[in-house]
Amino acid sequence: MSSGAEVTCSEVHRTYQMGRQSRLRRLLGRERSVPEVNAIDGVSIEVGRGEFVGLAGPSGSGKTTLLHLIAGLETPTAGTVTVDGVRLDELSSRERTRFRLDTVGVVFQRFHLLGSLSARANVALPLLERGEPKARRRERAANLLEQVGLGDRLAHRPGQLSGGERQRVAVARALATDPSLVVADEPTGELDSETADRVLDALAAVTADRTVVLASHDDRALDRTDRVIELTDAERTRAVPTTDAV
Amino acid sequence: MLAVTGVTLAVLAVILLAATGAGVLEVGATQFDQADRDLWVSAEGTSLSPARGGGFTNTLTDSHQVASEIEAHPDVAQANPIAFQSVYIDAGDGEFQTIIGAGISGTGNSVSIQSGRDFSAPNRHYANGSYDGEMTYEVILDSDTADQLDVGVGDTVRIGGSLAAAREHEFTVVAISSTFRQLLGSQTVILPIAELQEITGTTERDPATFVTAVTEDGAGPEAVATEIEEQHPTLSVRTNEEQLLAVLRQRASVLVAGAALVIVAILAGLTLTASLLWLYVHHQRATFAALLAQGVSPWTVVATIAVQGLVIALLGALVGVVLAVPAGVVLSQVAASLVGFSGLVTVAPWMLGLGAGIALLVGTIVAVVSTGALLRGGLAVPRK
Repeated sequence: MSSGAEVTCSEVHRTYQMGRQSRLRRLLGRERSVPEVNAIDGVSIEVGRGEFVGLAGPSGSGKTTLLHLIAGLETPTAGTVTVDGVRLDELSSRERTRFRLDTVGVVFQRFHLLGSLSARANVALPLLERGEPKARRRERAANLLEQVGLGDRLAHRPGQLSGGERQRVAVARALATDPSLVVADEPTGELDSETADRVLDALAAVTADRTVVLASHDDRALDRTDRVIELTDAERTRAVPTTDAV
Repeated sequence: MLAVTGVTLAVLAVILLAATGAGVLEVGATQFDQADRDLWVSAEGTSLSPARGGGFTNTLTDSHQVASEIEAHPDVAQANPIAFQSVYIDAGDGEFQTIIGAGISGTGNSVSIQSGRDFSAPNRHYANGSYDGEMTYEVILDSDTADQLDVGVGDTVRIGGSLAAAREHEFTVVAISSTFRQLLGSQTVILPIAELQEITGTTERDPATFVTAVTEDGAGPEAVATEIEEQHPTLSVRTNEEQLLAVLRQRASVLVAGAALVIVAILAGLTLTASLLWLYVHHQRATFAALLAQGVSPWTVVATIAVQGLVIALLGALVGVVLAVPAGVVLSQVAASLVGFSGLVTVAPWMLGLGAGIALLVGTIVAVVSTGALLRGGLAVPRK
């Protein structure tokens, strides 16, 4: 079992261009300015090993962007993101892919499971990347699904599962490679309250001792975290206030 | 499931369209083979189809004499004239309809009788060219005509080259046979040739569409055809294959339609399978992005989708191939009832292979290529 990763974001900025410069305009030398938007602007946070941190804030406050930066899915426009002492912006694309495989588990709001594969095969897929033997992959996937309460759904395909069950499969898949850091972006956003509780229970069951960063609008989800970081409107330059543990 | 169903439909489309296309081309050959003739002798420009004004091009005159001369060839076992002429027919109720009359010298092995008996004396009226022999007034109907007229073996129908002639000539139905209906694709009544000539007023010229000949065992039809043409420079002598080609050339639309169907079958299968797999892959782009986010490499995603594509194509191909055979039988029966040709849709093993092959090959390739293209283009990580 992993002991959790240490995450540090220092003065992180992330800017997106709204639209693209057309090739024709570039060829003709008639480039025009493309508007930019600051998704996050000067964010600094620290997450300790084994900590379960919530990210709260209104839509557009930059929660998802910050999660993507922490997970190495994107790189900051300025500032640094460090996980266990590794600066993610200094890694190549391939190295970041490897970093994610070894270190990060990601849970999305929507489940993003392959419909033609069974629950077990979906969970085992990241292990295929590691070249693990089939028997080990199957065993690991079965154990994880057992832990999230789906031990009797191993052979079911996503289409045969409820929304909550699919999200629990997605949680199990995020944990397949035994990551030290789990990022979850609105994992209960599409679920009713009862189902959401089951998913959060499952997440808690499999992430003990790991570092978890969870972005949510759902107070009940945030209630389960050790502390909540509140993000405000990201459109303007601002600091990131940090609340005490809830 | 939907993807498999889609591939199944693509496979079925390939197989059935190819079967129809090839069937259009092959049915003629089969019919000529079943005619049990080796040589088809005609005057210039004879066509096996209705000509202008509803009549047939019976340009071969003195046909009995020509048949006798051809039969005199040492390598020819038998030669007989065949004439096709539009006639009027009714069951005595005055509701005449036009139909193709086929005049033959005898049924032999070439006419398959479903019920009833052969002509009793098909050449009696000819009487060596005098046309004063007694008429048998015997006719063989195809089953559809018999059903339409509500008559059977032993019943009487009226037939003639004109309405007036038809009212004067009553024939007894002696048999039911669909051989000529299948050969021509139209309802046909079969009469002794001399009696057909008599009721259509053409005995003066003794016209026929063809003189067909059967060669002796061991004789080469091509060599015999060449020799007969040398003896009769005004005649055109064709083997079964040549005659079929000649007919098909006259019916270029048939050739084009047959070939087009085969091409359409292949293109439809390619397009349907490719677009289906492309949609299937694109539908999962967010899932691929999620897998990449998880650290799964593009190669593993491509390999996974390739296996999926192969499995979908394999299942679709299997179901399609299994369904194609009974579907072909049903379609063939429908075609036979509509156009008269049986065996127009014949599913051959190569067609099953073509359908399954297109599904497997295209399904897998498109799954791999479209996934690869998606990944090369860069997938946005899902924000939900």
